Amino acid sequence: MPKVIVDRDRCCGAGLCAQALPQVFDQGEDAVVVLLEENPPAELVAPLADVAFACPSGAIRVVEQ
Amino acid sequence: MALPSSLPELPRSRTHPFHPPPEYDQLRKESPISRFVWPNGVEGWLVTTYSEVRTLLADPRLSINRFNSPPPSLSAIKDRKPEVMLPRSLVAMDPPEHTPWRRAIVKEMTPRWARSMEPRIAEITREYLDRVREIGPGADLVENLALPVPSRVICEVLGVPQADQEFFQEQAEVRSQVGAPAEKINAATRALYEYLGQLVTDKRKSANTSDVLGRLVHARIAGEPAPHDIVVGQAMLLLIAGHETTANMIGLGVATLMDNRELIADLADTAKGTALVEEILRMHAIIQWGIVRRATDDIEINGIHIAKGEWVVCSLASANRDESRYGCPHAVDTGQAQSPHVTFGYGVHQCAGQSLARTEVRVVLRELFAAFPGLRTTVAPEELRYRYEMWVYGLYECPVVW
Repeated sequence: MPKVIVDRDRCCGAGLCAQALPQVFDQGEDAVVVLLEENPPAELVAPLADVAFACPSGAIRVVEQ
Repeated sequence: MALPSSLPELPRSRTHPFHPPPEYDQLRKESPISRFVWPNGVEGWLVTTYSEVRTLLADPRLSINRFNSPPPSLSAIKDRKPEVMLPRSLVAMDPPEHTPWRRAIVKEMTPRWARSMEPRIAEITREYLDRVREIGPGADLVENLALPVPSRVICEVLGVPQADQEFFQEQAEVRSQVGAPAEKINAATRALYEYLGQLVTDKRKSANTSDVLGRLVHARIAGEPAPHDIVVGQAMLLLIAGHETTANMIGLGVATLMDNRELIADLADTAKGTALVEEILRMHAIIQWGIVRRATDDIEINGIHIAKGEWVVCSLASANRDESRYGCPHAVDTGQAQSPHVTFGYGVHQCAGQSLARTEVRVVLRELFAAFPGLRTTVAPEELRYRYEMWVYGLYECPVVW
């Protein structure tokens, strides 16, 4: 199962993650990423990898556990 | 004085209006990070491959702040627009100063907000399409659609009162006129700057926080009140960056679709239209000579040593055509999942208005072809007048018939 780690200090608020996977990510009042689901289902592994790659500030990591 | 440099110049001669200069294909293959010289004699590094462009744009040792640096210049190019010194904004700030300002601005322009703007953008677009119809066949889409729609949208977003929008748009339009003399362009820039300065002052006195400037002027940035001149600088940035760039992308979108008419139908569907716009954006990285950064420390990358103080140019247009990332790099290909393009840049300075820009381009193109399904350019798309010699690439004009 994938585990998602977000770095809110690095986040630059582009919101691409919340747009692509709204069931996992949201943006707070300050546009900074909010992690809604730390352990998303396994079928999201590929889209999560895409989102982590697209993140402009490198604020998203996905690890297998 | 140093001897004239023997290094090659930044490739600038296109052989086709839809494609970056062919030298980039060779550079990606043979020398992804290479030395070059600007026309004013300043040397730098040119980065042309996707992975290296992204890596360097994400590197905090590359600074966007050119305030105290003697900048490189393309001044040997004729018709270069003169510059009026503008107050500081996001594009002159590095973290940590950049971070709270960036957040204060991007929170206003999230993808969710951009989606919510779609009906209003469509409404404004239809208003201008009515004018295009009134003008009749031969109407120029740049002047009558691509420039005014993003300008109206940014006016409403910033909170420019309706009574002033015409003035505001006129000045913004002068700024993007090619033939306009330097004094006229400088005067327009100053007029906008003064206007926005007054607007920010007015908004500071008012408790109304229903628009972006109203909120920004009352915001606390890193715990401090937002300084007047920087708020004005950010407003100028939002106006300039959100106006000409989107307008040029709309023009290039029309030209591209002339050669890909079968894709026009995709615009009617939000998901397909979104994918199509991504491909149009990938094909046309309109900041055509790349983005400039300066190393604040020594950087080692792929066996190359970039020394502290050296200039680095990341070619977005070349990265978007990288054969190692794209199966079909030089043509619109909506059929497969693509690596995300870097037209909006990468790293913490990635375009703050990207979601609005995406929505504007998609909605304007959709409404345009819905209103005029048989629309075509008066000449072959390759024969339109392109902004070959401008920092922001695009079309000078796009006359159409239907």
